[in-house]
Amino acid sequence: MAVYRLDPLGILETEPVVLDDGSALHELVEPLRAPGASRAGLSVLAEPVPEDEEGRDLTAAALAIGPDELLIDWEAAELAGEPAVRTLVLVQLGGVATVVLEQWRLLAAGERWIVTATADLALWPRLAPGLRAAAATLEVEA
Amino acid sequence: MSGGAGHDRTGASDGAPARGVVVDPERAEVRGSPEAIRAFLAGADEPDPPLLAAGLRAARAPLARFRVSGLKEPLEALVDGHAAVLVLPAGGGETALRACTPSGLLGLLVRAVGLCPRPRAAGGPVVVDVARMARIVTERTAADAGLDERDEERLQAHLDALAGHWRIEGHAPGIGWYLEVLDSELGLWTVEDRPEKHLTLTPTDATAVLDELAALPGHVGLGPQA
Repeated sequence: MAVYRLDPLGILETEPVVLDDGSALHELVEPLRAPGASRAGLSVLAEPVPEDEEGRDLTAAALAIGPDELLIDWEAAELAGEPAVRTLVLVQLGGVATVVLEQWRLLAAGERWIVTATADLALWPRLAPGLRAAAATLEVEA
Repeated sequence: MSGGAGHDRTGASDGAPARGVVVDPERAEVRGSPEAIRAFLAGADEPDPPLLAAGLRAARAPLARFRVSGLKEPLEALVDGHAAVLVLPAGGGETALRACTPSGLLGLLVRAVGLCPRPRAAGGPVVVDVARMARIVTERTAADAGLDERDEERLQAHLDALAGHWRIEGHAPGIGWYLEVLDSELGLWTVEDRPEKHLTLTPTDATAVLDELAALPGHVGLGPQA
């Protein structure tokens, strides 16, 4: 089973919370937390690599969004030394809240990885630089 | 007064009825003729849900105003530190006030300007005279923009594929900020003032535009600074 390491850079909890979908969420450290529609932080999800070619298509997976989601940007990128696809998506709940999901998808160490930086859009300017910097420290190994 | 479920044509202000205002609790929205909306805002009525009440407080005592131009119809938002209302045309000459949280408002602004994935425009910024900008945009021509041949071709290609030209202005007492974008199928360029009546047109990408749009409230003293 592959493992990952990332540098929390003093803004994220070192120990993640495991969410229902199996992803490991490194929440913001307590002093940085603020009320919002989502738990801000950086999550890491490792899944088995699908055997079919369609399932291995990172771009197709990245661009498949839900009805309440708005795709803002995507590009080829690199993370953990591997080619990745980065997307920037807004999840909109009418006027009640907008949550940002900045995600990197990659295949590494025999697994498919999804790394997600998330925060309320109103907090994004304050949090995005740190979340992106922490994501950039990701390392994975088999 | 509480809006209750469904749509109520009601509105009491300081005990006096404000005729012709519809409260839509599900959408956290009030709508009516501009006169009825003005009368409603002159009162102190705060219908449920709490988001609508908070938005109306922002509308009555805004700390900042945002205005979006370049759309089919201009859009305005009144904001305080907790909530906002978006002022929308509601059809039939009516105006709607839709209450939003700060992040809800930003999301609605993103949707309104149609920010979406665009190719990353190559090259560096170009500088044009303010006086020439109106012609550049309205006639979609880079001719006589005072650019060298390469930059003129680059700007002309961008203008030929132009999908929109929008600007969001934020104003608070003593401070103002704006984000202006030339959006084309070939990419996004920001438009920024520079000294001596010139403008800088800078190729950018949708991620940078979203980051800057999200930072607008902070630039006018609301919410977290970037």
